[in-house]
Parts: sequence; structure tokens; C-alpha cells
Amino acid sequence: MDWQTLIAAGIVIVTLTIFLVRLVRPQQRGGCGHDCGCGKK
Amino acid sequence: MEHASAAEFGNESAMTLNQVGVGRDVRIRVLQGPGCDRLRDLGFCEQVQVRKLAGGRNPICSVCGTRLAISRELAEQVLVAPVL
Amino acid sequence: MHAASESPSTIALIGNPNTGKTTLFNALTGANAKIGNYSGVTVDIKSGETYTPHGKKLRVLDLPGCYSLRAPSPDEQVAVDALTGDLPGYAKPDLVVCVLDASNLERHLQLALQVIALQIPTILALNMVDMAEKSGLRLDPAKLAAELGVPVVPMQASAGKGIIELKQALRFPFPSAAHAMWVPGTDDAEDTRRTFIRNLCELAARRPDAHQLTFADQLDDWLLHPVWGWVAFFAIMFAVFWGIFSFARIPMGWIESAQGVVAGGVESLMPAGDLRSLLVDGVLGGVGGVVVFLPQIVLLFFFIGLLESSGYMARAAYLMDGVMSRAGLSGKAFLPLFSSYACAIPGVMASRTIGSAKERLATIFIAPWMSCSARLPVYFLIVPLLLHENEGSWKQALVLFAIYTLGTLSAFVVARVLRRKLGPDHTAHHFMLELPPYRWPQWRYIFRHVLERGGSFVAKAGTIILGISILLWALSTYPKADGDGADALAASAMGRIGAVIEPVVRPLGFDGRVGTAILTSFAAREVFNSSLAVLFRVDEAAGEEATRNSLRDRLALAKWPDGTPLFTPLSIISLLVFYIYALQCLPTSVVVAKEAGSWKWALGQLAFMSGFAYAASLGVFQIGKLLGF
Repeated sequence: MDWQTLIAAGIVIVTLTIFLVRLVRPQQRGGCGHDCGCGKK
Repeated sequence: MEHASAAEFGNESAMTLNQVGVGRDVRIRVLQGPGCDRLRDLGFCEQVQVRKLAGGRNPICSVCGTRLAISRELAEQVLVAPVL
Repeated sequence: MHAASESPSTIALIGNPNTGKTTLFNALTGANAKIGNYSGVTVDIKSGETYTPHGKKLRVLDLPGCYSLRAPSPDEQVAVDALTGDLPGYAKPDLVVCVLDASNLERHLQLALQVIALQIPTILALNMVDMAEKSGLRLDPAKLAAELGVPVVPMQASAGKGIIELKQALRFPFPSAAHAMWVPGTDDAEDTRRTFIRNLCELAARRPDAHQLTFADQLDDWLLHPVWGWVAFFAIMFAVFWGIFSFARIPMGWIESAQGVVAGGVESLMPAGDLRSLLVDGVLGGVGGVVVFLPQIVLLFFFIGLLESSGYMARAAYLMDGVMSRAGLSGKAFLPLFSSYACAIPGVMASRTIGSAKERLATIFIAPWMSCSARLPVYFLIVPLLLHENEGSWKQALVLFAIYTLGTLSAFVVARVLRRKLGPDHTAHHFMLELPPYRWPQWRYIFRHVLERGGSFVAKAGTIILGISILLWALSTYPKADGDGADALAASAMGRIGAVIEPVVRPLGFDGRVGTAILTSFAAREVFNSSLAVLFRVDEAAGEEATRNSLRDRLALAKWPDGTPLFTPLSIISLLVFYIYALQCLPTSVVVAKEAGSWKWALGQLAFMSGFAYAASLGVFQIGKLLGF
């Protein structure tokens, strides 16, 4: 695997981890927990 | 809530808000019906002078400087007399 | 500075709707809470902080407007509960600022007296004194204060006038509660109160007797006219659509060029490889496919802000009452539904202003069919494919207008059916609406609001959509296989998913790639654009001559395996119909469950709308094919 594929795969894994963590702990912030843009976060 | 009843005024002066022509000034005499509490909250009180701005499905009146639209059914509960 | 060892005192802002409470709240706390020139803007409690002149911290609560503490509608009930300390999570206020419209004391003092009778320390804020003076009212705040036994502060919150005086009145210790002048709760009290108010206003708020004909009246003659009012309404709505399309053209062009430059730069700096592909196709393509529509989003919120602050919205609600009653709704439902065009969540919450519980449920149920702003990137990507013309033409505005109208009319039909099933109300609820004076837009507030919403849009693109684009890129790149273009895609994880989905969406006119994109857009509607960008990426193997076409051009060229075009007018319409009707927003379902009081409503709504979207799309495509399109 060349360096590009390595870095790309790394980015993907980090992103996936962030998503999984957010899924498991969604209500860390107050409000509805979703930044839908309505301003009622 | 007991107030002077419409009967006391005789038929000539007991017309409803719906019967008033557009642009006329009238004074509210009596409110009768289930919506009178709400009407009073809005500002349609006894002795208040209003001007009818529009009729139709939802009449619009000017009450103490504010434009208020109410339904025909509610307007039917407001008995008024013309301001001469 | 006093030591803030004890918890801060709480003050609450209460008053009739549309008296400027929220403007005052924003001025006191530095917040940017939503304001508008119609009653029913504030339906939720907002909390903020301010400081007295001596540096003591105060918690400020902005309450929904209410005409009286009798509270027939849910949003008013929230205000009453907050005052009595019955609202969970909020302490009973230590002081109440009752905000009154100085032009309307005869009507607004009712509430003030009810509040004073609660025996909480009260200050009266006489707001909008500028308008009162202009209309010839002669106010005597000192007399008012003397007669009522509470401090009275004249102010003009929108211009920041009187705020300092109000803060002075808030210094510790708080003024004590006024002597109750009569026993609350008895019938006589109402009468005595009214007479008292009348006399007081004669003394301290003299107004010219007759109603003065103003410019607003002349305008209303047209805007509320049974025929011309509707003409004006449609003209205004169409102008907004056309405005969004036209004014967005040039900024869109800038963003697209910028993206092209950056993509070109990355490509020239890096040799071909996975990272380059991730950056160009995944990140730039995916996020770019959404961010390019920032101008439209900004313009949409700008126009909505203009309409809301002008005072026109109440006129539109008045006009719509007749039409909406045929749908089992009233004109009051117009405002929550109009808010839903921006985002269904505040729209659903705004339904608290509706007194009738059944009408409220119906309104909540249909709110997602008012095409929200998240659908805009999808519409703006797809609609031009339909017409093959330059953007900004009035035809495109017309199609968009038709899309919104279709969603709205279908929603009314469903509302009517739902209302029939729910049955009539136990108590009658009558239409009543205050038509506020027309006002010039508050530009500073609108500017801040648009900036905030635009910022949210970009933030969402930079976080959720960025993340999903990266994952989509990975799914469509791995596992790798030999071969190029379509073969590589088919071998990847995404390709396999697409192969599974295709039989399901083929009858709707979509292939596996479009079907996959639809599936991903259940995470966020805008992701549809990102997915398409990733799935229909420029074919690397086609060589350096492959021009960097825009996503739209690539879609226009996309084909089925047998060579026929993928995006025909019929399949495009089928796709648009799907997006009009599909409910693809989990946060909305959560809020619906909360406001409707049970998860059954939210799940039922989700099931109904998903099924309907599928069926409608299917119907459109199949019937269209039968008809030979």
C-alpha cells in the first residue's frame, strides 16, 4: 500500500470512530442534540 | 358573568358587531355567549368604542388603536350600539 | 462586586404577544433570539443572563406572549406555569417585568393587573413609546406608577432606549410587591379592574378619540381584499422564489469556480492516488455539492426575515383562514406551517399557539410536507436538469413554486382527512388574530439572524456532511477491483449495496446509484448531493483529457447500462416527488413525539410519509411511462 492509501484509510477510520462515538453519546450537549440549523440546539 | 342583559336596551340598539357597516363607529354594550371571556382578554370590553374596518368571514375592528380580527361567531356575541 | 455565592435571582419577561419582549430579552442578554412582527413567535421559554448596574447576575426568562393568565392555548399556559413556579427546571421568578405596548394600555394593563395581583414584585416596561407618541398618545408614566404602585419604565427596546433605566430599576433590593387592590379570582374583580383601567387611561394615556386612518389601513384595503389580497400573496411568494433563483446565480458561480480552482490545485500538486481521490472526489465533491447552495439558503432566510418583521405574515394568516378551514385548520396554523418552510422543528413547536388540540395535532402531522430548507440543495441540483436551461430563468422559479404548492396542497388534503378522523373539538375555538402595524424591517436583527442560519448551514456541511462524504467515498472505493469506471464502482461496497437496492427503486425510475444516494440522505437530506457527487465522480481512467464537469453536467450525461439516459424528465419528476413527500429528518420526529405527546404520532407520521413518498414516486413514474413520456 502506498502512502496515499495509508493516509486515506487513516482519515476514514478516524471519521468512522467520531461518528460511532457521537452515536453512542448523542446527548452530551443540551437541546435536541442535532445541529439542524434551526438555532434551537 | 352577569351584566346588563340585552333585553334592557330594547331591540333598536341591540345589534351585533356583524350587522354593523364597514367604517362605522360603535360602542360595545354587552357581551353574551361562551366566548366573552376571551373577547374581553383581547380588548372587546363593555363601553369600549370600536370601529369596524372589514366584514365577511372574519370581521376586523379597530379597538383602542389596535386592529383585531375575530370570527363571525365571536362577533355575533358582541352587542353594540351606534356612536352618534 | 457582590459575591455571587447564592444562585442568581430570576426575572421573567411577560406581556401580550408582540410587545417586544424578545427584543428586550435580546437587548438585555446579548442573545439573538428569534423575533417577528406577529403574535406567536415565542412559544418556548428562553433563558439568558444579564447584570444589574452593581454587577449582580440575573437570570432572565423570556416567556411566550399571553393575553391573560386564563391561558387557553398551550404556549400561554407555559407562560402562566413559569410565573407560578410550576414549570419544571425553572425557579419561580423573583421579579416580573411586564412589557406593555404603550399604544395599547387599555388592553395590556389587564394582564399587568393580573400579574400584580399574583404578589410578585413587578416592574412595568412601557415599550414602543416612539409609536405611541407618533400616533398622538399623551403618556404620563409617573401617574401610572403612582396609581399602580409599581415602577414604570418607558422604553423603545428596538432602539435600545430605556434599557439602562430598566436596569436601574432592577437594582437590589427588588421593589416589593404592590399592595393587592382587590381580591383576585372573584367576578367583581374583573369589572372593577376594567373600570379602573379605563379611568387610569383617561388620566395617564389619553388618545385621540376616533380611530385614525393610517397608511396601514390603506395598505390593508388591498392586502386583505378577497381578490387583490390573494393576487398580492401569490405575487409576493413568486417574487421570493424568483429572487432566490436570480440573486443566487452570481455567488454560486463564484463558489463553483473556487471549488474548481482548489480541485485543480490539489490535482496538480499530488500524483493520482487514494488520498488525492479522497480529497477531490470525497471532500471537495461531497461537501462542495452542498456548500455551493449557500447563497440560496442565505437568500431564503433573508426573505423570510423580511416577511416576518414587516407585519405581512398576520395578513397572510388572515387571508388563509378561509382556505385552511376547508382543510380542518384555521388561519392560526398558517404561521407554524410557514415557519416549517425554513425548518419543520420550530414550525412544529410554534403550533403551541393553536388552542385546539386536534388542530394542533393535524398541523404537526403535516408540517414536514412544507418543503424545508434542507431540501433546497436537492431541488436546486435536480430542477435545472429538468429544463436544460440557464439558471435564473423564470421557468425554474415556476417549477420550484409548483413543487412547494404541490407539497402544501397535499398537506391540506391530508389535514382534512385527519381532522375528520379526529373528530370535532370539545370546546369551540374561534379565529382571532391581532394585525400588528407595519414596520420597517429591523435590518440589524435580520442580518444577524441570516448570518447565524448561514453559519449553521456551513457548520453542518463542515461536520456531518463532511464526515458522511468521507465514509461514502470509502464505501465506493473499497474493496478495489481491476477495471475502471463502472466496474470499479460495482465491485466496491457501495456498488454492492446499490445492486441490492436497485430492484427496489427501479420501478420509481432510479438506478442503484441514485437509490443508494436516497438511502444516505435519510441521515440528512443534503447528503443526497454529496452522495451523487461521490457516486458519479469523474472517471480517473478516462485520462487527463476528462474535463472537470460540474456535478450537474455529469448527471445529465449519466446513463443506464443499456445506454439510455438515467435522468429523463420523468425520472427527475419522480425523484422530486419523492423528496417532497419523504420524511428524512430524525430530529423532526423527535420533536414531533415531544410536542404531540407520544411516539405513536411520530412513528405513524414517519411510516405514512415514507410509504406515501414511495407510492407517489412509483405512481408518477409508472403512469408516466404508460402515457408514453
